[in-house]
Amino acid sequence: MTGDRSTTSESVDRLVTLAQSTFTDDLSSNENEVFDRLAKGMHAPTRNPRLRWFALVLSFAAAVALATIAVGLVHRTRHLSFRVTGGSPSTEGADDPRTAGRIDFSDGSFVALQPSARASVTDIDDHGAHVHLERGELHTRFVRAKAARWVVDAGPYLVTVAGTTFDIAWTPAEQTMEVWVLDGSVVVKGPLADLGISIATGQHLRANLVTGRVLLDRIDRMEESSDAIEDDAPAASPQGADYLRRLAIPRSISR
Amino acid sequence: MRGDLMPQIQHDAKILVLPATDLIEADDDALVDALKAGDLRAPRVIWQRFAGPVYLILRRSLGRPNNVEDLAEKVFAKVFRRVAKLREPSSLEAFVISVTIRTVLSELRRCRLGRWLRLGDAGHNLGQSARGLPSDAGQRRALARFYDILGDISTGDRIAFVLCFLVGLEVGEVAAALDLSLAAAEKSVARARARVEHHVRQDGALIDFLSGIDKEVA
Repeated sequence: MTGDRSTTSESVDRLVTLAQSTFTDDLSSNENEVFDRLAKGMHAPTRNPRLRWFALVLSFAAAVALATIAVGLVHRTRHLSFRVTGGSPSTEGADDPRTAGRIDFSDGSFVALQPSARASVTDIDDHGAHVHLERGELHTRFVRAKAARWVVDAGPYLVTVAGTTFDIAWTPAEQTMEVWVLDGSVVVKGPLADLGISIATGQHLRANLVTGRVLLDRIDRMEESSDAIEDDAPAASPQGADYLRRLAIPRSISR
Repeated sequence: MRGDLMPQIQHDAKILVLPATDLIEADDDALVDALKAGDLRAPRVIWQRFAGPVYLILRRSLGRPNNVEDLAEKVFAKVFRRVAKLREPSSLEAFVISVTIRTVLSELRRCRLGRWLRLGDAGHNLGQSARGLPSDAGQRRALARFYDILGDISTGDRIAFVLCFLVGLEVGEVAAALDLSLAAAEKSVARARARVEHHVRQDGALIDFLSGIDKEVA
């Protein structure tokens, strides 16, 4: 406490006096003009009611048109967001990694995590997002859009997508990455694929860092391919016809 | 053609019976009657009679020496629009004060919301120009601090404090203006005064400064 009660009371009185001497009832010329503005409004001729209705309807139509344009613009420049459902958050590793859950983006794209998979969204902008697959398998669908750019990284591999449906798996213990493109195309870059490998609809890529082998085959020929590279450690991923049935791949792809 | 020969009839024409005495000297009853009758001089007389008190309440309530024109315009627009419905013409002054206070309360709430939305308080703004403010920087700071303190108390208590101490109304008049019982108005004024004193007591620099300008201000 700095001052006693009487000093405080006197100080308040002085503040009151200071305010009273500052804020007076004198009117400047500007302040007196307020009445002229009001008087103009009071004596303004009354508009024709029909004209008023017409103006009202016209204003309403203009407002609707503007709102439509605004909604269109907002829709076009809408920021991308995402929502995570299911799975369980973990405190380990990347920010908000999820297991056996689903990440739904506001444009309709989604990433579904298979059991024991761990993934997180590490970056997002208006055109897409960067999804980090720490381990396990993802089923993804990215909506095609102009300037869309989605990236999924799995181990040392970077999968760039413009709009497609594909699955991706990364097995850290075996250093194996696999991609199944179900619709559209993706570009995979990373060890053994420095210049990028383009993978089209119905194709499957398997890259094993331990053996230094990359296999690109058709999804419906996966069993044969797997037999052909028996030395490759089998990935913990679905294979061949069973896999196609589960994902309901179009007949033209599965043949 | 026939229409051109017919005399023009003004169906909405009015004959105004103007008061014999000059409106400037008329009491509030006569003034309100004149306004209701459509006397074009009445609004200006009401303005001349009440503009000073309205500006005074606006400035002292908000702590702004200027930039209250829009609020004054709002007050008088409302007064002119509603005065015809006034049950007791003699209560014109109370009606004008009541409209002014409602306008102040609305402005204070708007400022408070603005301050809340900005998530911070940059301190009281005494106005956009130095016109009407003390030339002494210390006095300007003291005034700004005073209105900062008033900004920290509830809007209702603040207006009760302003009407009682800054405008100089009796507590009974404060109660009538704020539509409160006498006891409630007394409580509000006392509570506001205690809050202001509490804040001032914490501010040693302010007390020291005020003790120095005592004579000057008085």
